[in-house]
Amino acid sequence: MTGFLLRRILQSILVILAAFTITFILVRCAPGGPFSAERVADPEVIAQQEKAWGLDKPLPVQYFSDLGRLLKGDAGDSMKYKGWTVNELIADAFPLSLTIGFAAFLIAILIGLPLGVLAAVRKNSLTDYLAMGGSMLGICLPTFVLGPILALIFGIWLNWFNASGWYDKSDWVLPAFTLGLFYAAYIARLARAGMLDVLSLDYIRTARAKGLDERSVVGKHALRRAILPVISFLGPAFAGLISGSIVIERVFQIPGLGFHFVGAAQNRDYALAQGTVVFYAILIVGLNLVVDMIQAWLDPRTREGNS
Amino acid sequence: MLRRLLLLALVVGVVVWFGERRSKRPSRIAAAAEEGFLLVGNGAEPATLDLHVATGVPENVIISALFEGLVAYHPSDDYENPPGVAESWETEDFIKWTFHLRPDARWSNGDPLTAADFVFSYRRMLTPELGGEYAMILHVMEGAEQFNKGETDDFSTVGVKAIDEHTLEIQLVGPTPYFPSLLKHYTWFPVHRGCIEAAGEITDQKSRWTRPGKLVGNGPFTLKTWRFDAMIEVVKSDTYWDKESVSLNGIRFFPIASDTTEERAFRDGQLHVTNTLPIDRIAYYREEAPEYYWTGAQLTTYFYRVNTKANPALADVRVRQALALTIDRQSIVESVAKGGQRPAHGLVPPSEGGPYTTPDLLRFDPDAGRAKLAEAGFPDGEGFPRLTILFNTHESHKLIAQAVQAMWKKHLGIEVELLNQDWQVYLDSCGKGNFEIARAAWNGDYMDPSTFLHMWMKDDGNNQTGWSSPEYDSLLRKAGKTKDPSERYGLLQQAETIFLNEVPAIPIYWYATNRVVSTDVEGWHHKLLDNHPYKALRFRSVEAATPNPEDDKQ
Repeated sequence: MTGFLLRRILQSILVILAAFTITFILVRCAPGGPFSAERVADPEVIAQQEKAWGLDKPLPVQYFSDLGRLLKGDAGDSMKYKGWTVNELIADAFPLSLTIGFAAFLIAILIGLPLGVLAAVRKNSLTDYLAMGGSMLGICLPTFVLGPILALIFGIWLNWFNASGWYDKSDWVLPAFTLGLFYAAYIARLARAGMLDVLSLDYIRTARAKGLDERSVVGKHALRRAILPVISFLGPAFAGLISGSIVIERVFQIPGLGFHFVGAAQNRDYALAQGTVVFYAILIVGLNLVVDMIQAWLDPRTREGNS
Repeated sequence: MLRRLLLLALVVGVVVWFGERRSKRPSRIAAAAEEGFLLVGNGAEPATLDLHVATGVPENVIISALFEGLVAYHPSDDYENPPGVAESWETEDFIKWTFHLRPDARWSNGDPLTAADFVFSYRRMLTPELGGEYAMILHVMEGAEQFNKGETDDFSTVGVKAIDEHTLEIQLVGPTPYFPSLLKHYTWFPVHRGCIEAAGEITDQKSRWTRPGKLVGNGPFTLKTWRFDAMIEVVKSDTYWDKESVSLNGIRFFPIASDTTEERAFRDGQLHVTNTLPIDRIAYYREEAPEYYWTGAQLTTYFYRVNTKANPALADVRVRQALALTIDRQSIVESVAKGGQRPAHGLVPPSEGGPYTTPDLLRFDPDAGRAKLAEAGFPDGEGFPRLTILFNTHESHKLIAQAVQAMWKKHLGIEVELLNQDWQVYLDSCGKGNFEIARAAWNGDYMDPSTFLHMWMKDDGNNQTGWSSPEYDSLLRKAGKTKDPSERYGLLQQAETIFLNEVPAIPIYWYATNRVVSTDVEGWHHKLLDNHPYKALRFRSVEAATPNPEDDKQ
């Protein structure tokens, strides 16, 4: 077990290091730079700015100094937002993205799963058609269309929520629904397909033959197996949800992490781009590591298979 | 069945109760107006509040609440120069200027504001190690450029002196009649020495002296809160010399980047003043709710830069004239841009009541254009090289490029390709001269035509066309030495005429600002430079406040 753990941790470190290295190279390969502007500054001015951020040094020196700083938990200073550290920017934005992402995740499961199961149980009925039609619409409707529609209906016409902004406790509702409904639609279709497969299996027939009522056949026996495809979808979905969405953030004016992901690349803010990518890599790799450890603990075959 | 019905009734009941309760909330602007707070959309998160490092409009909007220069903004007239920190000033030759600072000017921490503060500020701005991009605005001061370029480290060679605590003397390179207007640019505002030194090196671009609690300013407001990408809040300053005129208790700025989100926030009662307005909503406000709609000319020109070095054809002035003559600017403004822009008949945006008259030279004349192209050896576009128009990725730039493409095809018979690039890639291409024709825009910094003309001198980093004219350069240099304002404008006009005859860049239109402002706000005026003195704004009495446009419809 200890050997397996060590190996997995080592692998994780390598993945994070690779993510950092690739980002480091890519942002510097892209044309333009953090200090280029429409109004061209004197070359001496740009040279001073590059010096202040250490960009005048040779690339290997920059690489190892950035890496060294990161190892100490410091992602450096933003090049666009002068006077802010990357750590501050991420620490400000991540809790919001986490809140909205987590809420959207719950909404997706709570709406998607029952809808999918219901559609499978009442296959080819009106319920099925409505549920599947609705989920098809949910998948096709992009968030930049759904978001403004929800904002218009619940924000402006009904005035239940603020149409945008991050002012009071209920401001997560509209963005979380906008984000969650897409995933709910996807989960509903996965759950329906999974359920239909399972319901045709022999052990379900046996359960029915034994006289179990439909509720416990579906809820107790079929569901566990039917949601396997949903569960394998949930991992990446969760990671995607909490990393923030630039579209949602712009539609609802939320100061989240998605803005930094896109903005840092657009502004060639090297430090911020590296910082956000490494942060995200640590998050994903860390989550995976935890899942792997739980699996290994539950199922010795995983450990043996790896050794 | 009964259980299900009961459950349904319960759910509906909760939703209705919740909706009723929520929908009765007062709008955010009403609540803010009650406290005397103005809510303003600011377009983007400011990159910094350090006025020596700042370069953009979102920064200016907030800096001008926190700081004040020698000359203040006028509420409605861009050409007026009301006194700011300086009570009065005099000059005999427009070269040597003496400013008399008001004795009651104070910093927000209570320190007296003296002439030495200005000397320190200009020194910091010009110190090469700071890398201030806008330091070149100060180059009108004698010796400033040399100091800024590191040719000397003796600041006493720079033409700024504190004669005594309240007298500041500034010596310029040449006669500059518009100097008071230039002083309204934030690069000329003072900074507090103690506050910057307390935060570290004075030349540190990354200095954190601009944080709430640290920042010491001299404007009508002080910085209270800065939540990144969410909100900046300023509150009325107790130490501001003219605090009696300040009616607002504070302002909250929201960096709403999406214009449609911002407009929705306005309809939702979250903003008193927006930064802009989506093009597709302009018609609605103009016709249905004109009491909110503010539009007017802006000191910005939209143009196509021609790289005269890219292509032998583009080096030919007749070809450039042919291209300029066959753009139907009126139709672009009316059917494509649609935001109240004015078709450009010159380079410098004309301003009503201004002392400078922009030459009226650019025409839409397809026949003349065809003739010019034939003269250049390309009758009906035969043998003309395939050109590419470069623009940064944006829907409106694409539509305009498509319109120009069609016009040149129709009137000149030439084929043009379109190429869009991401902003940074586009900047890189323009800087390296990797383009033939590129879309660009230029914002005036102060109320003088030189802010649009200097960039086309040889070797200016912003020229980027490869074009230069010794005559043009010498006219501008001569204007820089001319005292008499009307004679000076005459020289600038001659220079602009040369530019428009040789068209190294083809002006297309002059921008307009579009925004909506709540009718609760009093004292709002359209400004060419879009700088609004917040001390002139006040709320109408709450009872007289009109509801939101959305409420009108219901």
